[in-house]
Amino acid sequence: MNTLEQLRAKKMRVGWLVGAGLAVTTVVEYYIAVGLARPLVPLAIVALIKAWLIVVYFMHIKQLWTSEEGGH
Amino acid sequence: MRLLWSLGLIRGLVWGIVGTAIGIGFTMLVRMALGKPAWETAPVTFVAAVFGTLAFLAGVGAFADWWRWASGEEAGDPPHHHEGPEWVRYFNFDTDHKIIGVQYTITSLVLMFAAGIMALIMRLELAQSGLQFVTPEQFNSAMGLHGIVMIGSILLGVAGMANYLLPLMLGAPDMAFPRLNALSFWVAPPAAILLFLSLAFGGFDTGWTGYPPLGAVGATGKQFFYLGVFFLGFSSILGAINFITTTLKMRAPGMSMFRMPIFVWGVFAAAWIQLTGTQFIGTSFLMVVLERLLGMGFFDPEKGGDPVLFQHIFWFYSHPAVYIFVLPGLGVISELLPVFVRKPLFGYKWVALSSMGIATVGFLVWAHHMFTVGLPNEANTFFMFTTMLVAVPTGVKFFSWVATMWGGKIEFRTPMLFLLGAFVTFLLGGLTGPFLAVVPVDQYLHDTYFVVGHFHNTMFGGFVFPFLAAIYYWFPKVTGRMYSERLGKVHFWLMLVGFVAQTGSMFQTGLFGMRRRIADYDPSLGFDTIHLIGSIGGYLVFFSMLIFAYNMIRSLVAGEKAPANPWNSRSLEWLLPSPVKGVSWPTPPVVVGHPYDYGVPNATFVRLAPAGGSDRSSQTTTPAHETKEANR
Amino acid sequence: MSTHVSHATYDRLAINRLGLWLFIFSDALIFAILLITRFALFGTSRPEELNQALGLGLTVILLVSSLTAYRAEAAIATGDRSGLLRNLLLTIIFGTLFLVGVVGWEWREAPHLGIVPQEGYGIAFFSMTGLHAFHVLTGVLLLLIVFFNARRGAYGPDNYWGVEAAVKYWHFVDVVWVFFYPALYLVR
Repeated sequence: MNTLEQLRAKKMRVGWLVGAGLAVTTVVEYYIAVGLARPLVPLAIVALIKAWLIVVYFMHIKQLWTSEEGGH
Repeated sequence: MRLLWSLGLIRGLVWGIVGTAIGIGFTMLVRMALGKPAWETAPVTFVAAVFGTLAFLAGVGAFADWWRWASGEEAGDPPHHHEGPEWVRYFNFDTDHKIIGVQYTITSLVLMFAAGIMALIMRLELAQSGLQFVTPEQFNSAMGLHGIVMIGSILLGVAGMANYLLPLMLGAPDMAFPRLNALSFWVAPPAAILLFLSLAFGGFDTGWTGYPPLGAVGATGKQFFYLGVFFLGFSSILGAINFITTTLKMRAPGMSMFRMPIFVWGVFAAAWIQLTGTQFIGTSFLMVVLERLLGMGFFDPEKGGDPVLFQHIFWFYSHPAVYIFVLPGLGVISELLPVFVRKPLFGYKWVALSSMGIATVGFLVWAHHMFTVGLPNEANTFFMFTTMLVAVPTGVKFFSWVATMWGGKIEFRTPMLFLLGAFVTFLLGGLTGPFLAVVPVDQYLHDTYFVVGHFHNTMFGGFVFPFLAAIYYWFPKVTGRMYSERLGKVHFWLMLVGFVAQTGSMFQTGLFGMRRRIADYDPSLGFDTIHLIGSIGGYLVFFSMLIFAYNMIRSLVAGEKAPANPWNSRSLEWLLPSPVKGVSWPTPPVVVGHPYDYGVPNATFVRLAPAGGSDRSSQTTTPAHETKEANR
Repeated sequence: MSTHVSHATYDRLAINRLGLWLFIFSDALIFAILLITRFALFGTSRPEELNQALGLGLTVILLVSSLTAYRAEAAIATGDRSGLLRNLLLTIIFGTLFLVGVVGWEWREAPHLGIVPQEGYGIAFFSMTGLHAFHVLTGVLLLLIVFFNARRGAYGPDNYWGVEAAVKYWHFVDVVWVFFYPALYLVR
């Protein structure tokens, strides 16, 4: 039980960190759009970073090729 | 009455009609509530068609297990035990891949005959200059329906072969997602009904491509066409998810990717196109429907849209789509050839990878359908080169077949004859391809019968002949009976002669400027005789298919009993009894060798797991006499 | 011939995951096509009248809902059933808020600002937000089913594929918005 709770705490920590990352990138995104004259490429890069955060840490895409993580 | 109601198909049709009625009533109520006139054909029929399709699926029982899951019950594994007569299962929502495979194949053949009749109408009209039988609008509707129903038929035919064979060839108990598999089949019948309903609403004179702006205006029949294709695409995508997952995750122990039967490689490569490409035709048609129903001007320049955009999105699927048809077909050729030549398949790895190569390159060539649109020269040149590139992986396959046959002992039985027919027609299609790939030549040949001839040769060589070969070849597996070899050979020769005559006339008239999609031509062009020959050829093809149908039905009822392995094949499916009963592979076999080592001394492909002392456990797949044949 | 088969030799979870990812990949292409259409037809131009505060607010709501969805899955994976229910409910609420924001607010307001579905930028704007909203709706329905199943105690730390699937789908819908938001509201 102890290990399950440790695991939960770790998962929640990852969740908050990624959430914080998404918040920061969203703010950056907004200021890029306000500040730059041609924001297309920077916006695309930031969007890719955000998508990467979600796909890797929230959607666990690595489960597709590694069986260790999150097997239930 | 009770028996009738136990047929899912009948239930689905009744529910579908009720659902359509509810859809009509619902839309009219909503429209009245919004203060609009209650009836307007386009929106009301659109909603009714969607309701009707969903009701059809519900009536068949496609949603039963998911509904159980959603309401908190245990759905469990799909059942493998059935009550009542066996044939009833073929008309019901059944999760057994063998049932689904047969359902797909029969539906495919029915659609093929229906679309063939459309072709007969066109050939009848073209047999002589002047308009004799149909109006130009009817001709165009027949042409569009012939095209799209044939495409549907081919998609279902591919799915039929893949469904029946994949688990048997991979040593799996069933497909990865049996319920999804059954759903993806049952979406197809209402889709086909929608396609034919278009005739009742004014048809569609756009042809199967449905280009806007013409597609965005006019008869409501076009809307049924778009919707029918949309549902067919849905079915195709769900099928692809199953094929890929089954191939990647459910292979028997020891069967590495490069020990898979080559047919599976063809299906696997095609499935990736189905999974990714189909969304493009679906979305492009959805956009046209939105333009028709809600006035969203995606493709209307006056509203900020762009009609060429449609062509880009449309062809991004519709070119690779031909590889969905052809790759499994070429897979059948590579699969059967070693059996009839008694030699290993030449360059297995290259043939397997060439399928993936074709699938990849296929996505880079779409704009060769648009050489006359007025794209920049740089773009046209790029697409010219990528199109030529397709010849490389296709050539790999062709040379592999030639090398496989080289010095082999060819047994000229019906499936082998159809393979040879496939070589002839695919070669004709392949050799006429580069002409069309070259921009300046295509500027001249675009929209002529030359293109039609090229296309039909690739389709017959890449799909129809191999498909028929596959049906003859696996007929004993599916039914446990043999077909009539004599009728099969008559079928083949009539079909080959008729087909070459028909497409020959297409090549010739096309080269001399005969436009396609036109019901009539000027008698002074002097095409009458050639067109007549083409029409006779077309009717011969259809007649040969009637012989085929007779052969199949008669052999199903009264054919002689098939031996356990009529072709002395080494492949997994022939280790099971014919027809296969129950779960395909309750315990997976163990693969220890290579599938195509025909004539290789002491080669073993598979070892059956010792399952409770079954007498099959001691078999290996090398027939005894075979080990003596030396391989050159 | 036995009529029962055990799928024990096959990794059912891995099979389900692959199937779901393939579905998501395929579905994502519809959005990619609409994104391409938006840039093909209108370049990087966009009307100045768009409600920027609403766009940003919707984005924040959806990102937060992704975090709660993640926490729901993490909770059940470590045996916390009440955490699962709490976070699922939050996700459903945020999702519904997003729907109300797009369909109930933005779609009502935009035509008054000159953005109509029939022509110009509105074609892209309404088709993209519309198709996305449809996916949000299906996602909310899926989460609701999972929520009620979870209340019946259907899931445990060894058995939560239903939660995982719904949550993955929800994240996917969020990823789509990650690209749609800058494409619709921010580029110039």
